[in-house]
Amino acid sequence: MLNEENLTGPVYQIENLTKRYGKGREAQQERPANDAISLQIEPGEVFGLLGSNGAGKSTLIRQMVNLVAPTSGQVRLFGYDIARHPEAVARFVAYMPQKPQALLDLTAEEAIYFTGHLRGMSRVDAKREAAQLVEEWGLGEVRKKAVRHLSGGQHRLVGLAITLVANRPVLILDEPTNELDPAYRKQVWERLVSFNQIRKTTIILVTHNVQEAERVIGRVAIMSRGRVVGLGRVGELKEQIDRSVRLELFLKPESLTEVELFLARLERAVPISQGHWSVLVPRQGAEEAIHAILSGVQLERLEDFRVHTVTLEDVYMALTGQAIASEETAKTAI
Amino acid sequence: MIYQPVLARKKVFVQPFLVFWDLFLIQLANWRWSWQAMAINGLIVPMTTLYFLKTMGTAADQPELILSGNIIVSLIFTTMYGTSARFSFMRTFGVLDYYATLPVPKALLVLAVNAGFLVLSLPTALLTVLIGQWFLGLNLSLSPMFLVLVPLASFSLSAVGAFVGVAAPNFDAANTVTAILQFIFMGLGPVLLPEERLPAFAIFLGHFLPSTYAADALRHTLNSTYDGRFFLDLAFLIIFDLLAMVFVGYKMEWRRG
Repeated sequence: MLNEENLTGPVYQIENLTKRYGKGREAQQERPANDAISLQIEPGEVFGLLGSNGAGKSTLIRQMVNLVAPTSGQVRLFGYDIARHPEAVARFVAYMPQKPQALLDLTAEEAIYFTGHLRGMSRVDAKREAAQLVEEWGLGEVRKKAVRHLSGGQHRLVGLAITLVANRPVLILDEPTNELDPAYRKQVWERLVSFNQIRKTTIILVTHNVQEAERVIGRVAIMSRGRVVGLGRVGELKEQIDRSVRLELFLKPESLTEVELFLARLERAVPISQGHWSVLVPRQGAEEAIHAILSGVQLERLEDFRVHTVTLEDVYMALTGQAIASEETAKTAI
Repeated sequence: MIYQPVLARKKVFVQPFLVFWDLFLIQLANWRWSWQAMAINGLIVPMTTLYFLKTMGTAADQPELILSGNIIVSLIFTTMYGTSARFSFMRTFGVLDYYATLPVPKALLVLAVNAGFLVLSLPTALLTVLIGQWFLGLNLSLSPMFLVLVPLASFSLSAVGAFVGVAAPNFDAANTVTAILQFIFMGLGPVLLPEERLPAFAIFLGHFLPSTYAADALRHTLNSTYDGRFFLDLAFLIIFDLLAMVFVGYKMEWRRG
């Protein structure tokens, strides 16, 4: 029997969590999806899991909601080992998968209502909250449409509303702003921050939208190839990779080859996407270094360039040696 | 405040029903855009079979056998096929993940999906009886027992479909296995053909299939002959349904890997 009156201590304690897919020799030969992951998530924090596709973050959160059995290791939720107490996840956590596929033939309002009622709200409360969430998320005009017939962005908003209904103390959101236009993305981040601040909800975010997530995340785990390669407060991680300045270069298509040959020789230059490069420059002597790079590249070969201080994306690149976008491109190419 | 799951509240006999009712309504909501196609699918095959058996003169002296057999065929094409497709879809496309993270027992989900298909199959079964009666020139009075037997028969077949859906490795495999099973359930045992026209192995294997007992019990219902054999059929179906529901719930794994 779970005791929900006394939820003290860490929200999640993850110890030595490893997941190998497949069986027998096949499993031994494959690189593990997760490899000896240990971390702790405290009540009321907004925790980010950052990494490219295939980094192991989705596997990790599926283990955290008991949808994937670990090969070894343990996940504790409010002190309960979720393998032995699977009911703890249903009781304390609301999970939004990357591609919500359930309840597609229900209307948005029905989907939110049934979820709220199944989570324990009274019928009246569930109906009221469903109507409220539909309005708050701008779904009023499509409230009678089957979720299946909504646009990708509207579908995602319904998924978020389903996750928020019944006020679970822990929210786990896998790429919550995918497919949303900028206005909705802003609204989602604001709403999540408000949930966190007013209701003290613990929020665990999986994202590769680093620039936006950086504004809301308190602590972050950076994942690469199934391992946590960086863990801490965003500010601390930024300090770790020294106080560099980032120079972003957007190359003209006709000059790609020549400029890329030049950039490839620079020590901390990383391609982000086609024609888009990032170069980290030490703050000390940054003016001269940037001048030298821009002279080498030649301004007329650039469509644009930007200079800014270190971002979470730079931290990711420094720790993994790759840009998130380029890892994704590589993965897609494979 | 953390809402207490419905099942954790005190009224232990009422709360599972409330959860079941939500899950059942969700299932019905799934059909509201597509029930017409499902109903037509459930009618076409039995009507076609009825037509061929009548025109070929098969079992002309046993019209109740043709009629009861076609009700089973209707159920096979609605509930068995439907639950197999539904569960394999839920597994393959991650729908089960949604239920797995809610305070919902697996057994109630299985029951709700099967009950949803029962609601879908009842009208087609009744239509099969009405059209079949007219076509075969029968004048039967439907006994209330018919309304007990159709759910029992429907649940036995939907449980088989559900088992295939949760056990098959993917959606396509589930479809293939179900298609094969549909013919096995129609062909083995005296479902559409009288026992004397079946080979011995088919009669023997038919003893292991719920379709045989369901067809026989329906035949008794249509004839209003409630003998020992009828009650044996009834007992088999009740026990099969209960065991099958528990087994499917056990076999359906929330967690993967």
